[in-house]
Amino acid sequence: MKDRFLLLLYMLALLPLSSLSSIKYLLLVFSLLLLANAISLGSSLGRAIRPHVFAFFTALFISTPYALWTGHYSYAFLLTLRVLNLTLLTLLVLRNTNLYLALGFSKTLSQLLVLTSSHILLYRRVFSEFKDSLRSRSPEGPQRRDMINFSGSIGLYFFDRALRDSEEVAKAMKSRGFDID
Amino acid sequence: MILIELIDVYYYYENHIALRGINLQIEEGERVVLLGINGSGKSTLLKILNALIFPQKGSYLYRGKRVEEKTLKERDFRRTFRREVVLLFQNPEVMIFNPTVYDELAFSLRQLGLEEKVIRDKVLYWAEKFGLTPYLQRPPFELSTGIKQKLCLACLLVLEPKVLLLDEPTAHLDPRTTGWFVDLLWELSCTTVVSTHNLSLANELGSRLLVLGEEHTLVYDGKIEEFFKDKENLIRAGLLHRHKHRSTGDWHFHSL
Repeated sequence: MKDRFLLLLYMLALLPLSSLSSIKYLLLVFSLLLLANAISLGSSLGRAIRPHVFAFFTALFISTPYALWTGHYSYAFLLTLRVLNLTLLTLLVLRNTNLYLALGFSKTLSQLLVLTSSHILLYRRVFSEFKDSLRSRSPEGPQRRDMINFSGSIGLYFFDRALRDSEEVAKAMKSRGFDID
Repeated sequence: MILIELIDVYYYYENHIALRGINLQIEEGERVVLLGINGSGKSTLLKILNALIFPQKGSYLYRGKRVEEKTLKERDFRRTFRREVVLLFQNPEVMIFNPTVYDELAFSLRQLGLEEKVIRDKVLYWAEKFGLTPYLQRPPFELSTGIKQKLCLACLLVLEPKVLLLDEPTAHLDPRTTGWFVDLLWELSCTTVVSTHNLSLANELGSRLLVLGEEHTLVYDGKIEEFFKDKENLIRAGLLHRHKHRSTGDWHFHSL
């Protein structure tokens, strides 16, 4: 119940957060969300900071050229704050919500979630094995040509595997009673 | 001559320990079998030996030189190490990332800057030896799992390594190819470390046995035959389980 409530709250908060246009209030929300994230992370702050830093630099990477190009600095700043707020809120909710329980009311959504998360976990592991194998087989360290071949191959590999695995997982879920036809 | 030495090695993942206080030495030419249940740390140990990850506590020495991130950045050492110590991954698919089987076999040789003619000769030799000649111009990801496994092994052997690390090499092989693989392993002149959880195959793969227990420690290091003589050894390593015999209803011990 708590999980569904948090998810609902999150959905409701998305609308005001994406329409708020006062930089003062956006900054206030940003500070509160930063604090909430830091408290929620607790002792694992150091390890879990990566997605936050990534979100920060991605927002900067997109808005800085826009601001420089158009000269609309305050608008670019406002957009960056909005994106950061939405990201921080999403990370906070994801960390504190069991999405499987929260989406338990819909078989279709549950199935989609299971498919997605099983793929993410599996592919993260396989990707790390791919990188290890490239390192292991590269006495000189990978060259540019190797990196191009490597990227192309693993892109194809994951695409092909995603198709095969989705079918398999869907069949397995169906066999366990998740019939959505 | 001692090639590999681990001194009090510990390795942790985010929320669990993978290796605890591992001490071992491997001499040149030894045939080592690494046995342990799933999750006992076999793959982690092999990755440490291949310098893909580094001990968080303790040391790893290769030919007396400490192997750590810093030493791997030294060009000469990395070149020698990556040429001499090779690893066959458990999942052969992760080792395949070149457009054709030929390129896959030539990958590491090209990195060493060998002449194209020398590369070609070596590739053709190993392709012939592994029955890969008909597939040379085909994309490797189209091959069957057994052929992929052979290809990956050939990709490592073209380098003529000194230490061959193999992570569950027979997991994807059918019985006939497993037989071929065991014969091949004994033909090779290099030092081998082969991980497996298959007890029935262990004594086919080497003569010295290292066993990782459920506590992620080395619970046995010695001759394979000696290990199997004592049932307590198998129990301690979690390699023996008890279940009811179907026909009589009695409880029996069984190995994995």
